[in-house]
Amino acid sequence: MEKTTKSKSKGTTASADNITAAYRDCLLSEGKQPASVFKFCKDQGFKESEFYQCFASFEALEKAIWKNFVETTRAKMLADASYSSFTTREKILTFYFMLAETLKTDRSFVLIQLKSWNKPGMVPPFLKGFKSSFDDWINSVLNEGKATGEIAKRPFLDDRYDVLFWLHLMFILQFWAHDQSSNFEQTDAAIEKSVNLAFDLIGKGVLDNALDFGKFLYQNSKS
Amino acid sequence: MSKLKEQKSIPVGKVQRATKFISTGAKIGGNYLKHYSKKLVNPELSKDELHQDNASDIYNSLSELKGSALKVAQMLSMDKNLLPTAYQTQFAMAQYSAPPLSYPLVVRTFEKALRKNPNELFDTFSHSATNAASIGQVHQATAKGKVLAVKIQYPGVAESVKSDLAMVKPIALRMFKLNPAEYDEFIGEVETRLLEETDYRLELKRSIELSQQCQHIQGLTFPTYYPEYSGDRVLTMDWMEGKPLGAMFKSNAWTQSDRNRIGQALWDFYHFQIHRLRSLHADPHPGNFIITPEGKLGVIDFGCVKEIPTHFYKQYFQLLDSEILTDTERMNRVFQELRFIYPDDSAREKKFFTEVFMQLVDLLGRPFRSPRFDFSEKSYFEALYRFGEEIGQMPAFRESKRARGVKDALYINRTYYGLYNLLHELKSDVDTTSCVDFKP
Repeated sequence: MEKTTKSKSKGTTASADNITAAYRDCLLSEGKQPASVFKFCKDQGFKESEFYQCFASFEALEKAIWKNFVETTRAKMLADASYSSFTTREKILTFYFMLAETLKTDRSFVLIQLKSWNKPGMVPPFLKGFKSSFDDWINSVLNEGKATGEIAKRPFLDDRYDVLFWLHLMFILQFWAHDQSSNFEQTDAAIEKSVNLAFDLIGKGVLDNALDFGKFLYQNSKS
Repeated sequence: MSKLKEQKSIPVGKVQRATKFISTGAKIGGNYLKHYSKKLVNPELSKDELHQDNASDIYNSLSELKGSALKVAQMLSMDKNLLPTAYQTQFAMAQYSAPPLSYPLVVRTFEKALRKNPNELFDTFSHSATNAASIGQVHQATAKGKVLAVKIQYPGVAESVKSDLAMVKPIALRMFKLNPAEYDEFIGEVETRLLEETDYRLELKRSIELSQQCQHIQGLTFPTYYPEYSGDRVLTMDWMEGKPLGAMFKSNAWTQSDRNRIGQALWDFYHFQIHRLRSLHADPHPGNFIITPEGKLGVIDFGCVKEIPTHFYKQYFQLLDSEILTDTERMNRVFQELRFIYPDDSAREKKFFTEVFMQLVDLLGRPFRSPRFDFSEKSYFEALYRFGEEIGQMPAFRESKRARGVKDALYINRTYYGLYNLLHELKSDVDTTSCVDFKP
């Protein structure tokens, strides 16, 4: 997303892209949201009605930027011919790596937004679209994994895996935000290691055998 | 090529390694406690038992540790002859043991280095790794009709080298009884080499230089390197067909003349580098060599290169002079320059260390004192190992408050140690005078 200068946008009808770029510019230079939509539009030379045609509020605008991160990543992934032949694990890894790459181009914006997120238990408003788009994608990938048997079917548990991956994504986002290594190499390592761990947990393995054994003991104790 | 199993287990992180060190530290503390409580009862008790306890605890935890910490221990132990030879050979085999990278991370690392997807750059690119390299993995690729080996480095290796070295310090200080200044000197040397190994751009430059300069040596062959397909975490060279050198050790398919030819190529390779180039491939590990179908020795890894400073070269290689051990005055001077003995050592210490190092120089220099040397000779290696073990058990040696030796010798000693071992395993009979021709 290129930054549009004031003079360029003046006079022409403002598109969603122009408004987004101007807002991002404003937020990063000022370090805070503009006082009002009115003030923002006046400073940037938009008509207020043009703003409302695209976005209902600043929050809606932020939400759209975040959602766009996921959408761009998904589109980039699908453009790679070999993607469809990947295993579920590889698809998820690719998603995280590409998302990290996408976010890198907008790191300042992401950091300033994450700073305003002070209640870790809650999904902040700006992440809501991001989350729904991610949930959408992760569920389709997880279902594929269940179909191929890469992910173990566990009654009651396996339809909650998307929650697990959402928390995982938040972990990666925080890790990346605090990563001081050159080219964010440590984030790459963190993604690789944590996804592998996640797949050890959701693949067929110790947990299933433990559950199976527990069930056996429980049934025997009843009879 | 067997397909490597991709990572299935939980990787070992810094925290886990740190706890490993802490538990060793605690155990050693416990050993001291045990020692002093026994000593209360029996004042005659010597420290030997304590050292044995310590050595075995240290070994047990170090053998579980992988990565650069192990390499440090390996280097130090070789130099101080502290660990018994059985351990040393195990240490010598130590390699980084990281699990293979997933394909997406390979692509990611590749894209970061070269800004292109491997499938865009190459006609084919193998999905999983065909080989593990010391700090990365090798994928096979084809481009323009050529088969290539693409080495991809594990992300974060450079950082983990630094953190490992920082963790090993307190243990190593106690273990090898070095004072901190000496430790920093030796560790500085090891750290420099290890960090250089993580710099693939440097490796590319050195690989091209050294392989061109050594091209003419008979019996050797080198892959071509491709700067256009290489970056800071990616290194591309020709794929070399052949058997790893280790396969030759046990196999009966090789005649004695094959063994001599390969051994000679190795010998010439090292001595040309030492005496002419003053810069050498300091990692004679069987995994770094390949025997091509034509029976040539292929050199495939220049990750670890030691440059020999001129002043050190002059000091060190005087030891190979056959008259050095008979000319007492000169010997004393050289021994002091190389810090085998110190001017302010007590007379007893001076005598002791002079004798030990005379024996060592005599033993290690033996292959140079005859025109040919048969490295298959068991008695020679047994004498060598036995001597190493004896030194390890000499209290005077272990309790010396000073490092005996200089930092530049660390990697030269290691290279000779590796070279002798390779030649022994190969059972080669080698013309050792060929190195004389290389002398400037």
